[in-house]
Amino acid sequence: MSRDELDIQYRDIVENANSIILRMDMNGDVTYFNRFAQNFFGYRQEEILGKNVVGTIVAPTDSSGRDLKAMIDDMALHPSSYVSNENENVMKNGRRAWIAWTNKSILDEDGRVREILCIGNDITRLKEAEEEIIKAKEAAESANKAKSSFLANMSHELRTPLNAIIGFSELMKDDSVGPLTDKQKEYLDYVWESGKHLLSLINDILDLSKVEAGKMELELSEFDLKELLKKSFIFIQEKAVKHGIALSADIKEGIGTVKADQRKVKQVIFNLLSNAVKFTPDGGKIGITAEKTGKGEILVCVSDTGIGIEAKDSGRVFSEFEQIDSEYSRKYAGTGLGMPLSKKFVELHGGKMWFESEKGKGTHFYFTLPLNVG
Amino acid sequence: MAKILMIDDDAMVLKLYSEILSKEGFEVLTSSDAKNGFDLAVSQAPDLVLLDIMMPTVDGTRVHEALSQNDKTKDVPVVFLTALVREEEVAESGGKIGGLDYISKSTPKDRFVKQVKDILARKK
Repeated sequence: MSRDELDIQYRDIVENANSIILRMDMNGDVTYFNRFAQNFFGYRQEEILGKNVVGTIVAPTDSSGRDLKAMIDDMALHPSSYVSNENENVMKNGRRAWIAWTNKSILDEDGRVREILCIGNDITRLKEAEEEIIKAKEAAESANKAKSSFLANMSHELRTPLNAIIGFSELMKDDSVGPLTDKQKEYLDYVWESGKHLLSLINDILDLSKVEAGKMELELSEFDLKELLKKSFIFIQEKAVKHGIALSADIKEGIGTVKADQRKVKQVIFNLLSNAVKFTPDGGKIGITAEKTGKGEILVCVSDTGIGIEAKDSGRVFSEFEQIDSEYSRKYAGTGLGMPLSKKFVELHGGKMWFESEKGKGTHFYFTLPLNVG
Repeated sequence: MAKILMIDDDAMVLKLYSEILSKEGFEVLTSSDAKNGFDLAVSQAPDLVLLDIMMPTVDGTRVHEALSQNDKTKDVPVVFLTALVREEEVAESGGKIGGLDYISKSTPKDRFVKQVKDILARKK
C-alpha cells in the first residue's frame, strides 16, 4: 500500500469512526471536527472550524453551574490533568449531553503543546442512570433515617399508654384500691396480661428492626458476669416460687469480669430464663451454669426440666414469629421473637447459640461469649 | 416518712405513681410542669425527686441541671423515670443515664417500690 493509500485509509477511519474526534488549538479554537462530531453536534464543518469550543460545543457553564470556560482555559495550561475527562457539552440545537473525553496533547518540534486531540463518547444515559441511583440512594438513606427516628419516638409513644394500662391494672389487681369480685379480678388479669404481652411484643419488634437495619450496635463495657448471672434469677423468682420450681446456679472458677454489652447479655439470659420458667411444669428445676472453655470463651447453659422440643420443631426455635405449636401454645403465649433476638445478640458478640432437648425431659440452651469482644 | 417529688407531664403517670407511693406511706408531691416542679423542689425540700426525661417543653436533664445548681436542692437525690428503656435492662438497683439512676416506667409495682426504697436508703 502506498503512503497516499495509507493516508486515505487513516483519514477514512478517523472521519467515519463512531466517536467524536476533534482537535483544538491552545486558545480552544477548533482545527478539526470529524463527520461523527458534525452529525452529533449538528454543526457543518465550515460552521465550526476556527470557532472557539466555548460558545459552540461547550457552554460557558454546565447545568450544575460548573465553569466550563475556566476548565477549557485550564486544559490548555495543564493538559496532563485532562487525559480523561467527563463534562457536559451542548449541541447546536441547545440540547445538552455528557461526554467522556480522552485528550492527548500534540507537540510541535520543540516539544511544546500545540494542539489537543480530543476523542469523545456520549455517556448521557449512563450519567442519567448514575444520577438516578444517587438520588435513589439519598432517598433511601433519608427514609431510613426517618424510620429510625420514627421507631425511637414510637417506642416512647407506644410504651407510655401501655405502662398506664399495665400500671393501673396492677394497682387494682391486689385489691389495693378496694375489693374486687372474682370475675372482675379475672378480667383485670386479662387486661394486665395482654398489656404485658403487647409491651414485650413492641420491645422485641423494635429490637429486631434495629438488628435487621444493621443499627444494633454493641455498647461494650466491662462488668462482672458472675454477678449478673447470680442476680438473673430475680426476674423469674416470683413465678418459680409460685410453681415450686427449684433454681440452682453453678458458676465455675474464673468467671469474672468480661467485656461485652451488658444490657444485651442480660436480655439474652432474661429471655432464656423466662422461657425456661414458662415451659417447666410445677415442681421442676431450672439451672444456670457457666464455665470457661479452652477456646477463650465462656460457655453459659440454661437448663430446665420442661416440656422439651421435638426434633421436628427444632429448626423453628430461632425463626421469627414461630412458636412451637402444642397444647401449650396459648398457655405459653410469647412474642415468638425472644429466641431469634437472643441468638442475634449472641452472634453480634461473636458467640454462638444452640440447644439440646428431649421431648418431655427438658431443654439445655447454650451460648458462648468470647472473653474479648471487639 | 420520706417526701418524694414527682415531675412528669403525664397526669396519668403522676396519678399512678403517687397512688403506689402513698400506699407505701410516702408523702408524695407532684407536678406536671417542669418549672413548677423545680419551684416545689426548692420550697418543699423533698428527700427524692423522680423526674421524667422526655417532657414536651423542658427536657428532664435540664431540670436536673437546674436542681443541681441550686443551693437548696443540690444535695437532693434525683432519679430519672423513663419509658425509653425496658424493665429488664435496668439492674435491680437501677441503671444509669448520664450518671444518674433511672427507673423504667415498665417496672412492676413491687419492684418499683423496692427500687425507690433502695435509693433512699443508699442516699442517707
